[in-house]
Amino acid sequence: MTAPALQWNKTGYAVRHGFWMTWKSILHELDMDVPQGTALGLVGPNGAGKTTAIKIAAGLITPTVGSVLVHGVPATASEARRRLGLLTETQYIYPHLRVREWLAMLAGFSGLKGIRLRERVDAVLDLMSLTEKAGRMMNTLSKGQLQRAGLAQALVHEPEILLLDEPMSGLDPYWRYRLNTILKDYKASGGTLLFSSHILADVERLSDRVALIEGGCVRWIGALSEMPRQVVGYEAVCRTDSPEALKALTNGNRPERLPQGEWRITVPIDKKSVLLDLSAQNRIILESLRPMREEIEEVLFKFAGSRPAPDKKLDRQEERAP
Amino acid sequence: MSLMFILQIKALAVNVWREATRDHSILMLVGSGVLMMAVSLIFGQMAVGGRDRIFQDMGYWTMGMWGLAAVVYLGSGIIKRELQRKTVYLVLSRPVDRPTFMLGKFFGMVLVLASVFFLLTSAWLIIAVSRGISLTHMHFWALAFIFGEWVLLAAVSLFFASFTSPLLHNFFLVSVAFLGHWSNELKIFADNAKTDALKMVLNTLYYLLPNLEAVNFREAALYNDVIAGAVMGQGALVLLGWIATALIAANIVFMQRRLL
Repeated sequence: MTAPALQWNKTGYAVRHGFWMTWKSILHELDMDVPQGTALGLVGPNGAGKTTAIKIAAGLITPTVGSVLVHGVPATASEARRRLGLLTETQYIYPHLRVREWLAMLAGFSGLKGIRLRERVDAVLDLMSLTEKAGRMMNTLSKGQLQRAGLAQALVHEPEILLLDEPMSGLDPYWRYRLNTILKDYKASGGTLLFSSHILADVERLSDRVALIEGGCVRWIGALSEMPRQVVGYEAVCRTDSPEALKALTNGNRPERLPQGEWRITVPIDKKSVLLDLSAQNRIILESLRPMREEIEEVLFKFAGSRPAPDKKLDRQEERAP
Repeated sequence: MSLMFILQIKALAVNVWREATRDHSILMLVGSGVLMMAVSLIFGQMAVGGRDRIFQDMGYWTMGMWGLAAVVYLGSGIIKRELQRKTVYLVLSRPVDRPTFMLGKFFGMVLVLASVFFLLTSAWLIIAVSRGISLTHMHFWALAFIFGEWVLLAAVSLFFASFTSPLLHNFFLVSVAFLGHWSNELKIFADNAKTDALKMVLNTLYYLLPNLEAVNFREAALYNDVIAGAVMGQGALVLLGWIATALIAANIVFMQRRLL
């Protein structure tokens, strides 16, 4: 078992809110970890607490209860921040600085200097295809270029852990693909990733585990393959001389003719036995039968809108709930 | 003191300097200061027998006021802007501690003020030499203490900037600058006050505010007076003491600030 690179220990965070400065809780006993060399994707609705969880891990804010550890060191300690690279959702820039100056300044904060600093700045500019823009003022970059510059600053000091808040925001399809590759390479080289995203396809591609956060709590955490997704029907591919027989299986939907002369049909759960009977009677030749599960989005939204899903990790959460 | 700490402060300071110099307002401020010194030559023509004294007097006044204006301009948004633009997140997510951040901002302000001071002083000295004004070492001490006052105001400005809005920062800073120069009068008023309450208020203000007259040697330079080294040493201690106090206070306040 690898030691966690990031660990939230019953972390809570609250802010004063409104005219009467009443406390508003943003995170409640957040309890999760990210083992070294793995990727955890944070998903959840707006205002769920994903960004706050990332900011606490980056040591920018101190939890009101509990703690966050980076390789066993409190996240607020500068030793912890030395190991982190942070990409915020919106790029916070100094408009008066040129791209190279901005990167050099931030790399300098992380302890790089001299030739090493110049080499690293050149390397990340090249990686993000920003070499030609290196002399341009930050406020003249487009949204996508700023996002790439943001990732360049997060990577410039070769951090062990990357914290990315909506990394794909503002990127075109090509750069989304490129960023996926870059992040996969980063992970393959032993880097640890924590990122939030609204794009579930990216979460699925990049993360080893997913944490669904809602209302400041972890509703579900685990690998997407472990997600309890119900079977909603079957997709069957078969051959037959009498396609009318198939119509009875599909609740009136027309079977789809495939180029090889096969038929593809979607079979409801209650018609599975009928399909197998037809196959046993040799009225159809069943080429393949694949269960169709709920979409990941559906399951996540179902979790978010209701009680936590029946999962052993959730049971632990429920035990803790007052 | 580690090398990294020094490099971080340097990077932060250079960033403040770049921001100030690439925004042309500070250059316009210098230009208007030089213009003011040139105008003082015209005023000098109107005075009978006091042309050089008017030039020197107005030169020192310009340095004092333009320094205050520069500190107000630099300090009012130095923290607020970082919080509004959220650039503070990027800096503090690196191994930069909050006191380092504040010191970097302070030295950045000092760097900009030093540039402004150099340009204004150079202009003033060039005009003075070209007019044949004889300069003594007291002129240079007076100039050095004017710069010291600017640095003190920068530290006080950082303290106010760490917790107030730019508008309140400007109000407090200008109040400190003016009341600081009236500090001796405040003590006299306090001693002569008839009610205890007024005496207490004036005394509190006297002790609460830096005595900027303790670092003001402009008249001595103007009338070629000799000031004892001990008095100037005392002035230097006043400056150092207040700068350290303001910086520590600014750090304590900023350490308590929550960022979200």
